[in-house]
Amino acid sequence: MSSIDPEAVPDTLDGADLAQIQALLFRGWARKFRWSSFLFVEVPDDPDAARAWLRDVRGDIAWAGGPGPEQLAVAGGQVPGRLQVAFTTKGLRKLGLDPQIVQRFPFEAKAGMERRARVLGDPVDDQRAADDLESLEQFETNKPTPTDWKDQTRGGIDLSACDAMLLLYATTRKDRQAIDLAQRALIKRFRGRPMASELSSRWLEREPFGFADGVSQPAIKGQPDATTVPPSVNNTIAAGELLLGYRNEYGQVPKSPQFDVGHPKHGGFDVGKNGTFLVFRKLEQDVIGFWRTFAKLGKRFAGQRVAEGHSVPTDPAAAAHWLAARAMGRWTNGNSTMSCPFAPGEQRLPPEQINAFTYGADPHGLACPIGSHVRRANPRDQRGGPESESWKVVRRHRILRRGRAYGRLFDPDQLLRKLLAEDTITDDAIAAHAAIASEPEAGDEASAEAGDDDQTRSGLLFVCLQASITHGFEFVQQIWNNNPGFHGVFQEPDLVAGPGGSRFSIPAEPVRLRLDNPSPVPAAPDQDEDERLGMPRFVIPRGGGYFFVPSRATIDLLVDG
Amino acid sequence: MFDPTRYASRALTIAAELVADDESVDRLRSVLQVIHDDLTGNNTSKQKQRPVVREGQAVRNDIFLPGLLADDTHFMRFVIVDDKLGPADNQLPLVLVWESNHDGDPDDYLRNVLARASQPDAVLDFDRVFGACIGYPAMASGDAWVEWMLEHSLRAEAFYSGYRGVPKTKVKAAGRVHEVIRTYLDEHRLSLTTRTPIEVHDEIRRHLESTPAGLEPGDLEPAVERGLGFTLRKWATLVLIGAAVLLLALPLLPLTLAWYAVLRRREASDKPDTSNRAVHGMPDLIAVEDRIVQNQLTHLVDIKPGYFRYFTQRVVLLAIDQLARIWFVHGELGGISSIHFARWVILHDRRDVESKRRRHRLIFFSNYDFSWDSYLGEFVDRAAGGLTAVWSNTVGYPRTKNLIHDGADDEETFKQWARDRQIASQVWWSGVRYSSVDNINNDIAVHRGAVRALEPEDLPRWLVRL
Ligand code: HEM
Repeated sequence: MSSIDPEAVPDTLDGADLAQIQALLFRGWARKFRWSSFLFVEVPDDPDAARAWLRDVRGDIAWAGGPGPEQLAVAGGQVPGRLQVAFTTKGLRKLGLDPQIVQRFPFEAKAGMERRARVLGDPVDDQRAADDLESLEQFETNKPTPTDWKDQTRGGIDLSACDAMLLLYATTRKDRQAIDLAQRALIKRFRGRPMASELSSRWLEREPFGFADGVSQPAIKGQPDATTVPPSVNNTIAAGELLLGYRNEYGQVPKSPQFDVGHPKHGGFDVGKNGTFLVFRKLEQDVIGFWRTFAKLGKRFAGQRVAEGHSVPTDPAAAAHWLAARAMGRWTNGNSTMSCPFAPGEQRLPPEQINAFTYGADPHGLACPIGSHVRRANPRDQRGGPESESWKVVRRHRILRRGRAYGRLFDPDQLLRKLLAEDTITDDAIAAHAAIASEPEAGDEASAEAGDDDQTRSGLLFVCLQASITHGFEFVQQIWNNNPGFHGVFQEPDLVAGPGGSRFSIPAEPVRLRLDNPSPVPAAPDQDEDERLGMPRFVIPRGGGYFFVPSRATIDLLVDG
Repeated sequence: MFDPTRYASRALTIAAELVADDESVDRLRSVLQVIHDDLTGNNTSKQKQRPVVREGQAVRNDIFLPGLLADDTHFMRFVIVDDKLGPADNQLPLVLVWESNHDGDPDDYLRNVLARASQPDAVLDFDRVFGACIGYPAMASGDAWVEWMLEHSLRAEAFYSGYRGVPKTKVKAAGRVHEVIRTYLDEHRLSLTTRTPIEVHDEIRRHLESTPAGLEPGDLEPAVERGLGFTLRKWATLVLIGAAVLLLALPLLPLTLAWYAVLRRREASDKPDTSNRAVHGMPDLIAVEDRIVQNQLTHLVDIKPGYFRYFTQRVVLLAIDQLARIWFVHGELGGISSIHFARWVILHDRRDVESKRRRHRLIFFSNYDFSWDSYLGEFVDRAAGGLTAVWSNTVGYPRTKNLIHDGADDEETFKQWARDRQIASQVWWSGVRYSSVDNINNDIAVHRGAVRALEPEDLPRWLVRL
């Protein structure tokens, strides 16, 4: 391994065999397939049955550079769609992958999301952590630990027993259901178990709070059709950041699980190559709570001066938008507050402009707060030190996001109108008025009866891809987004997706604004004032997992042994 | 010339050999475990010793509460330095280390510790901790205790502080002043928005002088700034180094070339660690990480045998130490702004054995912000050269070139090497649980600017700090 000369390994996809790579790496199918289901399964205990199941699934996997639109996704069916597949390390083992090779996977992939609770800010069960210490080397126990956040009655899902994730995409709700049912039937036929289908709502390229999503993505060196990624400065990263088997932004080839050269059958075969890691996280969003809070703050801060000649808008709804855009770093229409500092702009900027900005002109965050979600998640040229150094660091921590929304969707302007008109209106009453009814489609009756997507809650089925979960998702979540001391801010984690409980500063002249909870709970005797006035939590994790997305050759190895 | 900033935020490392008796070492381990549990609030230890309940607080065990040292201690830890990776036929005795980042002269500091420990109700039982060391005199022996501690203190070959020269009391005062200003701004922002920056600054000063709640006596006096004494020392050092280089460069050139030739030969023949695992987690180390803003690292490694590496090691550390004293005094070390305190100490092998069996070890203590991965990552991202210069002289380090090249560039191998040699710190205490280095330096700047008139051009820069 150590004998690999990194220089001899490409950091570009130029000349790579794209048909080895699952298509999701290059395609989010945001418009082509607006409906999706993420199906989590336990594969059969019998490795032969598990392999037989995978053999049937294999034919439907969409590969990059593979067959085009005519590809079908349902086992033996006729429905247009896409299927991608990913495994936990436990799943790989059950499929008969040599345990010694499984042991060579990165430790966080083996440990799973649950045991990375402290890193991710999830509830930690210290006793359990202590009990696990002994067995952690093996990283695999099947005991599910139902904690509140994974409570099914709250929409939670517990994936600690999960072996595989099927990502299913379709053009209509009906098709999505057909594909989902077919895949459920298939796994049952082999005596595996479908655990849960996480169904998206119709993907409108907005996350449930109502902000445009899927704007900024990294491009990969040598990526085919790179034009699908809205261009930005220094946005093209080495292939090794998003795929195993290529040189990364450290100039190294990340360690990859592979067979010893002397292995009789698979000598030197790299199980990781052309594969990547996928993080799934179900993130419930309190959409009404979010806009209710910003409506109140909008009223409070409306008209306050923030810079020479500029104020928070006097109209409370516009003020609410202004403040929320400061928390996000973008306006709901997707425009950055760097490009449009004081108002959202008449319309969404064209693709070649919408992501083409840097933060260099704004070192103190007067246009885009340093603590805003988007600036944290990708600080671009402002991560400290000279610009070139900042880029170098940031390029080592990019992730490719492939999430979808679920549940009820709202139009934020309608929500705000209701919330501002009636102070005491209940969430239910608002929901009844302001939810966007997704256009009815043929076949809706059928899907309603099959217990279709959740219409009482909303959120994001967050998915991201990266060659290293510690460098990618975990780093962005822990060191940038949720870090209360990110880049010099004091005790303020990400307000949008973070844990809540802190105030939020918005740099301004002559002095900053600071948001606190407009409806604080009454003080409890031993409660800290900071905690009481801290902003509410708007996003509640509801479970998730770490998966490996294998190459075609690795799937073949699993199926054919 | 007197430079008051030399006497704050300093390094004390006390290291003493443990008696070779498993039972007393076990006892020490359980004492340290209890202290650890008390500090982290995890008081689940089975051997509750002398449990004490303080009004409404969790049950604590009356052994050691570093909080009692909070006035002049920034961070501290106790570590049992064992020799798990050492060769079985050449084991070194166990050593107990107390790492303290403190203010004042070490002698005064230890006397203060002693005075505080002898107050009734104090919970600073060094005897239970150091009692397992050879020749330890009880605290009751007074002067003899201080002397023994000083005798066992080791010089830091290199020491860095993220806020060098600022005493703990001023770190805390700066935090309080900043917090009072924050609250003031929250309550008065509306009326301030129509004022000029000068007026805003004046209002804040006036408010601070009105003895608002949240301040303590003396809080309006910020930490002393580096004065003439520092500047003189800085330039004297630079001139001295410059002169030495000019004078010695030519005469020493043959030696330098010879050194370089040897170095390149060694670099080619040294054996780096190899492993084909991806960075490995070390469950017991991970379990205690990521609880507060900071984390700690204690890292132990053998210096490569022989005089050549030993000599190179000391020269590199000397250079880093000088740079840390005069150059990296603004809260960053080679571009890394997340280190509160870091030090390198050599544990010399003083055994009476033949020289080729002698094993000098380099031990590194760091108190840093955020996660292990981000800290080590910053090293790789921003200071790989310096890092490699230090550790390329130690065993197993990834292959290097020219002392500073390659090495840590191989991020995964470097991190694996670092994790493999990290040792557990049985007790670790932070006196600034909520603040990063950036926060503290920002507080200090806010503090200094809040109590004096500022030039108009400095005002905007001060106001954005609030
Ligand atoms: C429900 C929770 C979340 C919401 C509502 C949310 C919302 C958004 C929005 C509206 C954008 C801007 C649109 C875009 O650039 O595509 C964005 C960008 C981004 N988010 Fe999130 N996000 C959430 C959770 C997360 C999490 C958990 C992470 C990673 C740990 C993350 C990482 C990112 C990244 C990397 C970007 C792109 C920043 C850039 O490149 O400029 N987000 N998010």
